[in-house]
Amino acid sequence: MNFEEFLNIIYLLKLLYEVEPKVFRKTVDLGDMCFEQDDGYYYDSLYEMALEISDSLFAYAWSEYYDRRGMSITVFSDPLIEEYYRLAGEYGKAKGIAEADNLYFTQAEEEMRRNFNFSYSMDWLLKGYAEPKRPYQSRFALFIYEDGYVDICGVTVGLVRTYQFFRENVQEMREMLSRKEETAA
Amino acid sequence: MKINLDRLRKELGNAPAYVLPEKGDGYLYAYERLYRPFMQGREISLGALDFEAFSSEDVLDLSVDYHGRFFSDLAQLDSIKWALRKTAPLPAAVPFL
Repeated sequence: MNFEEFLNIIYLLKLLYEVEPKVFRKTVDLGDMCFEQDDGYYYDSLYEMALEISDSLFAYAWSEYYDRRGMSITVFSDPLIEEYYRLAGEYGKAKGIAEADNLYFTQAEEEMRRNFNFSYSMDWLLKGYAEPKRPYQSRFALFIYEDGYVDICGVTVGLVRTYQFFRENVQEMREMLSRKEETAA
Repeated sequence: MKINLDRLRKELGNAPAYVLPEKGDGYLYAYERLYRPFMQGREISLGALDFEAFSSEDVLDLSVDYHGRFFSDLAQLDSIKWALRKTAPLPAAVPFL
């Protein structure tokens, strides 16, 4: 293991500890984790931990592997994501802004690019609906192709950061819209 | 092995001076408890870390410094070690060494 790999693991754990300590306590067992330079590390247990974190962050996580296409698709959704787009829609209506010009819609796309555009073997898709017609309709999907290497730590960091983004912005939009209502009253 | 002391002094003089990073407590904790033991080949137990003592930003800062500064310092030290290994011995006329 080199220092970069080691630091990536530390960053993932610390970020999760800050963003969602409940998931950290549920999924991370620090007791067995010892690392040393130039020593093999327990890739399997790290991989399992990263998968468990990924499954535990968002309320909805569905995964399918397509053998013929050599790819896996994982779909994530959460009440936070639904709330984000619902509030973004309210903001757009209040300002008379179309979705295409709504900065909250574009900011979410930008956040996805920042978090998941690190491998040629991975794609993503984000769908947000201000007025969804069914539960978990606002969602994002990750497409991972087996022809290349995608760092599971990197994906999990991206998921934690994405979760943090939606949570912080939902809070911000709620406060902003509530201030507008108070002003209007 | 006979060592060329003049060359040793010269190469040591070229070694980068250690400058304590001017960073916050969290960064210094990560530096002392993660970077230094890792570079010294010591085992690091994550269970012994205090996750309240540093932030994720401190880890990112450490990563930036590693790539930007420490890496080049380590590379320079490696080339000094390599040069020392290739140091020519003193002539046989100096038997006391």
